[in-house]
Amino acid sequence: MKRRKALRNLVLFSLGAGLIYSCKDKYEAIKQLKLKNLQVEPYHLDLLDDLSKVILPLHQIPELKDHIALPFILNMVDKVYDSKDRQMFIDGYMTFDSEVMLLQGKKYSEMEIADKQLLITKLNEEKLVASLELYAVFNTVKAKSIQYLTNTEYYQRKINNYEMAPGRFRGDVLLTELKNMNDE
Amino acid sequence: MSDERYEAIIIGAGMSGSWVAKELCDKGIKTLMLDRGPDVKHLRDYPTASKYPWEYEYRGAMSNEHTKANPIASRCYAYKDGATHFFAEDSEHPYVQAKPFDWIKGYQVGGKSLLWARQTQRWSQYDFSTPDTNGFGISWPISYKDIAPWYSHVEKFVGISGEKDGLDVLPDGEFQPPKEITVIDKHLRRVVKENYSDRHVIYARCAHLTDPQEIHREQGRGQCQNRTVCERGCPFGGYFSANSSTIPWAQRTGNLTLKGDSVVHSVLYDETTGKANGVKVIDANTKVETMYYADVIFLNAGSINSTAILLNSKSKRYPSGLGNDNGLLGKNFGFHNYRARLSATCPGFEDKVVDGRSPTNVYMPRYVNLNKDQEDFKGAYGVAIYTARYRKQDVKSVGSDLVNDLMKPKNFKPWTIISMIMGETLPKESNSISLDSTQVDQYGIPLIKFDVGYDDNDEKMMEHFFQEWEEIYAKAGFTNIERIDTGQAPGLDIHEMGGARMGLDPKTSILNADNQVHSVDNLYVTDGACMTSTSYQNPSLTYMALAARAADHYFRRRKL
Repeated sequence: MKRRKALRNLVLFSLGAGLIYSCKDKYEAIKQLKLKNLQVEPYHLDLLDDLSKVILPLHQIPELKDHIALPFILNMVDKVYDSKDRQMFIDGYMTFDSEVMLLQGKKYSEMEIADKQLLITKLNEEKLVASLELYAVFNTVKAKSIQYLTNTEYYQRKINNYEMAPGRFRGDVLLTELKNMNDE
Repeated sequence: MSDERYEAIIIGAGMSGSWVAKELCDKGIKTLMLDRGPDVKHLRDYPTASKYPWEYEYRGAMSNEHTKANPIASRCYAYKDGATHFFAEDSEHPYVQAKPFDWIKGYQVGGKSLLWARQTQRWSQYDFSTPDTNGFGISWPISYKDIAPWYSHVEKFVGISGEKDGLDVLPDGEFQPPKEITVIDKHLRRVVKENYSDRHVIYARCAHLTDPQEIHREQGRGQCQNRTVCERGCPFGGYFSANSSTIPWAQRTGNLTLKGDSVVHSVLYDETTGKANGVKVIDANTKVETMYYADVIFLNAGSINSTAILLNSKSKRYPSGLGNDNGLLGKNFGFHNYRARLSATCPGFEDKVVDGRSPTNVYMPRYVNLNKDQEDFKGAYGVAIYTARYRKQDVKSVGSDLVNDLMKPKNFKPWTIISMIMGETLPKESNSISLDSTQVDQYGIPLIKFDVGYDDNDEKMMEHFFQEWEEIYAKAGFTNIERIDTGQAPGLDIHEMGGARMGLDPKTSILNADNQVHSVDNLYVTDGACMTSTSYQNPSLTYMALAARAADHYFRRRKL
């Protein structure tokens, strides 16, 4: 046990600051990203942030209640997406409100939470006849919110049993023997 | 100008060059080792070694800007966020492609020993003899028994995890205990054993310490931690790299001078003595030229650059490149065919999973074309086998349901398998590298031109692999079997070989049985450029053994 602890301590030497964002510093975090290809107005930042929270309410996980996925989503669209996909996303959020207004008779930002959830459910089930751009926003926000959650330290350690060192490998293990299998 | 003089100069501080350095320095020989890239010191220069997945800005993805600037390097499996600094930038190191060739370059002290797949399978007597007996190449000037002691010598120092399999097609070595294999690996091994007498599923031997011995502790290395982020450099020295092992070992003798950022332009040739007597070096940063002189020179710049340096070393005696009397320098360039893969689902074993990560896999050594051609193609192939069971992410829902689905820890997909051909390509003059006649790099050195491609033999070998492995999969009960031809260009296998091959006859080879240039006996080439044929195994272990053997040859000859 002492050896495991010593090894763990050894690899902590280069532990850097994780990219964890809290609601309080959302705008500051986005500013620090130095986005090159996206110029998102505060109105749309709030819209995308809200969309992310309705699609994947991270605050429902107590350990992640202060996390927001938005800066990660924007950073990925800005720096990892190719220009065509990025433009779809931009066109999608720029016209999101007006298109939703046409489809649902109400702007997204003016909807009650239940209406937002209903809209998101319809989009998720592809039951809404909407533009490709609107679906691009929905799909991007959903996919990147999931990617954000599943790459948090909490998720990696709790669900994936991640340990950098000492790592482990057992190739023939009963499912029931996995560390977190009794948590359910 | 400089008149620095050493007994030995080694060009290239990677896998094989560092072995020459270790061997020469251990024997008290004052040695200069040059590398075109910057120094990478073990521990000090592994900036991402212990970075966690959640600390990466793009969580494992690569930025568009990076991928666009490095279209070739980014095709490499090890080109990941956290390791890009160990790859040479494509834009800074152009080359000419008469046919597509993906040249993956690791320009730093340690070279690609930081990035390699760490697979260490010995060659067997079949691998050395079949080019001759099966009529697809010239004879190797050495046999398995010439190199076997050097395999052992290298394996003990490097630390190889493996199992004694007792196979003549893949001789056993000096092994540390194997790591575990998966339940599907075990199942496949059992099925193959029950159905075929000539085929074997074995643990793929790898350069990871599983039981460090005194010799490894002396190197400052410890047990592999199964981190599987090897390409970032290992702070434990759990796998072998020149940086963690041979280079610091050689430095501790006090006999090694290591100079990074030293781009070798050419090897100097003394017309009066008929010997190589030094090297011309261009400083990578200042572009200032310097000459260094020595009694013996070892070329270990990697197969491609070593061949190119020889081609660029022109003199009155050797107008088309040093040692190139027969015009074969740069020809018979080889690689491994990694294009064919077979994937499938493995039903059953639902109650079993893997826990953690393994740096290795299982493997099937060659079994056809041993003493004579049994099939309609020539050469050998082995198969790397990867089995896994991944977590399933339920992402169909949204809202609270999505949170609940993602937080379930018990979801797993079915087991999967993917097997990959590791195919020998046949030596032929038409597969060649040369110097471009008009274009030069930032140092004024001619660009390297690749004219390398697959041929009909490679296609036939792939078809054989597909058919054989579809049968094996069917016997194992695997389903959803799918053939994959990646269509990848030569080079992405990162097993470039040949260009200055060894041989018995100076009319058909560049090097002799001891890796000396036939007509310049104080010039050794002991990296992949020396390979007479490619066989199918990952070649680094063989390069290291040949390098150590050649260094010993110099030492014994020097004493005469």
